Amino acid sequence: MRLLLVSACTFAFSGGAALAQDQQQPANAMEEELSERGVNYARDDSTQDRARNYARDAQRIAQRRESEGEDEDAPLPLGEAVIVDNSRRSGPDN
Amino acid sequence: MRFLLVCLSLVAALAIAPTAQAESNSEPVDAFSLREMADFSKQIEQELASRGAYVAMVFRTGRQRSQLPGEIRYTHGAFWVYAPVPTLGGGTQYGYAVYNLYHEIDPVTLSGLYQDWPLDFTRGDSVGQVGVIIPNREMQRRILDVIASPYFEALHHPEYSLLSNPADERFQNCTEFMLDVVSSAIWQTASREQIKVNIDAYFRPTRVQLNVFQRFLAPLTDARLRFDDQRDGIRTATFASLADFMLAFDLADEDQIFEIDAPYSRAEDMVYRGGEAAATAVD
Repeated sequence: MRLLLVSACTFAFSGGAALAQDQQQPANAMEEELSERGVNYARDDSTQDRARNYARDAQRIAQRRESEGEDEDAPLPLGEAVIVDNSRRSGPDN
Repeated sequence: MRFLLVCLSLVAALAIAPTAQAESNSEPVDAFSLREMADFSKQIEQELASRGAYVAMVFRTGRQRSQLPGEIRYTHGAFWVYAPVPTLGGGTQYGYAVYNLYHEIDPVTLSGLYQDWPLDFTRGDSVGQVGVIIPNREMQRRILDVIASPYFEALHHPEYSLLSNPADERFQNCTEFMLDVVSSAIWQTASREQIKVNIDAYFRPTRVQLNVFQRFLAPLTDARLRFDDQRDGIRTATFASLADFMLAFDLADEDQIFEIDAPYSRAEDMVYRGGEAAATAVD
């Protein structure tokens, strides 16, 4: 029984321990690994203001394309580089 | 004997804690190489952009499907919004910004709204597959209106539950938040009270099967499992139930609900078909 409990606890905690290992990567290492793809850093850090502004920009683009008579399903232009935050991630694990 | 039963129950509870996770946190999983995940994030962006999507709802799973209850296919969902992104170098790059509800690391029972990027999203993916719902053009406009307004934050309820009941105001998880935003866009209200009444009437949640031990003991091992908002079984919002809702009310076309596999995908073939959630949902 003791063995059973130890196994269960090991199982329960192993997930947490794995998650707890901070996998943050130095920025230059990331750039190196993604050198072929390219990396662009967003100018601003994550805030609700920034998020709202992006949504407003999206509204403006949609309105402009519509007024220019662009087909609704026409493909949108897209950059090739990967966009990241200067701080890598905006969530609480920063 | 009683001690043995208690121990076995505890083991059952410990086992469900990780398997029941429909988690929404920003902990990186990094199951694949950074390059692979970057390519996959760009593959998703290209698919959305090629379809002319300004807004999409994208879902990932941070755990192997074998570790999840059968009814749950994805563990995190977020809005992807097309935008010109000013970059540190002084230029602008067109891409997608990702709008998440993540639970906090401490305490895990509270959540926050965080905007990050496609690579952050795919770094939390464990199987190399995402589910996508692209709302129809009118719904995209309405959802953008909500995201661009203070309503977006007003709809956030920080009390987090991994398997929150979407028809109950007490808790919210990432998928329920997305449903609340969609509901706000449909009914043009920021009142969560009104939204919950409407969700109760019109949305068919996914029913998650937990046995009695899991139901009562799992919360002891994972604080995010809070069942105070559940009655007669566990009901929650999922990719499938949200997709069915969007289809049922003509908020999205069938060909705009799909899954994308990474080249290195470990996922089985696509299983989502319209009406799938209805089979497991509550009448």
